[in-house]
Amino acid sequence: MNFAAALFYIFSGIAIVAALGTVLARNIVYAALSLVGAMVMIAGIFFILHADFLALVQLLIYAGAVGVLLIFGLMLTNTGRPATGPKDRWQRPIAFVTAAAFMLVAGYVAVSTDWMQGVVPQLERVPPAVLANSLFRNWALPFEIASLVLLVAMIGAIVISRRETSND
Amino acid sequence: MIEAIPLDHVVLVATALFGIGLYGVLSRRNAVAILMAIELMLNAVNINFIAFSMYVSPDPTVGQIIAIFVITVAAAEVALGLAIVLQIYRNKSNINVDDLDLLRW
Repeated sequence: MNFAAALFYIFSGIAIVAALGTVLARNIVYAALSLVGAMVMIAGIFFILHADFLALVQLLIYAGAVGVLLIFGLMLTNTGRPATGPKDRWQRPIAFVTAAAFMLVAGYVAVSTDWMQGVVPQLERVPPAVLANSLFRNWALPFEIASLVLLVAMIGAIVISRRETSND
Repeated sequence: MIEAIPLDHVVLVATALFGIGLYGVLSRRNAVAILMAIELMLNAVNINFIAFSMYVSPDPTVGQIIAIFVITVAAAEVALGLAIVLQIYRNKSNINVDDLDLLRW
């Protein structure tokens, strides 16, 4: 085992623990903070998998923007009182069985498949310039559609969350 | 180097993260917590895209570009989702998804 592999297992372990904290924490702010921790660890995994640009994008967008946005959402919707309704969480066992079944099936497929059959692994770093060339030449139309999606989402978010005023 | 990490292990980590996110989506009752679990699932998918593009794809850029699009759509999704949650909170002063039964017959 070398340095990169050891780092990968450390990052993966912390990411899984932080993800568990995200779904299990009773305090919702702790859940948001451990989600940010999981995002940072996933950025580390991207870096080890030779996706440098995506690691930085992950740090900027997920750990930065989405994390701050979610914490803003929590602050704006914090009622300060416990949830009403029945105390027994009947969703929990169903959710546990579903997630465990998914993990068992997908994990079995991941372990039992011979991934490397007949392919040459491409394990060199992709420079950002190559990525940009591919993005702006081969993927130009999806790129433009993505910008349109972001614009529509931005306008939609403003329109939906705007307070209705009486004098307009 | 990276050759020491088998592809199976990367896929297993992504599977674990996706399963944890799935559990969160199904068991949480706070709408913002459900959005956070969805973000976790999208990240697990991104790990898979990048791992497959590095290990088994003839063109290592494709997986990364798809991951960029996934991140774009995830950003749009979280912005719109939070706007909707905020509007629900204004109308019902509560974001417990069990209480949002206005459409029930």
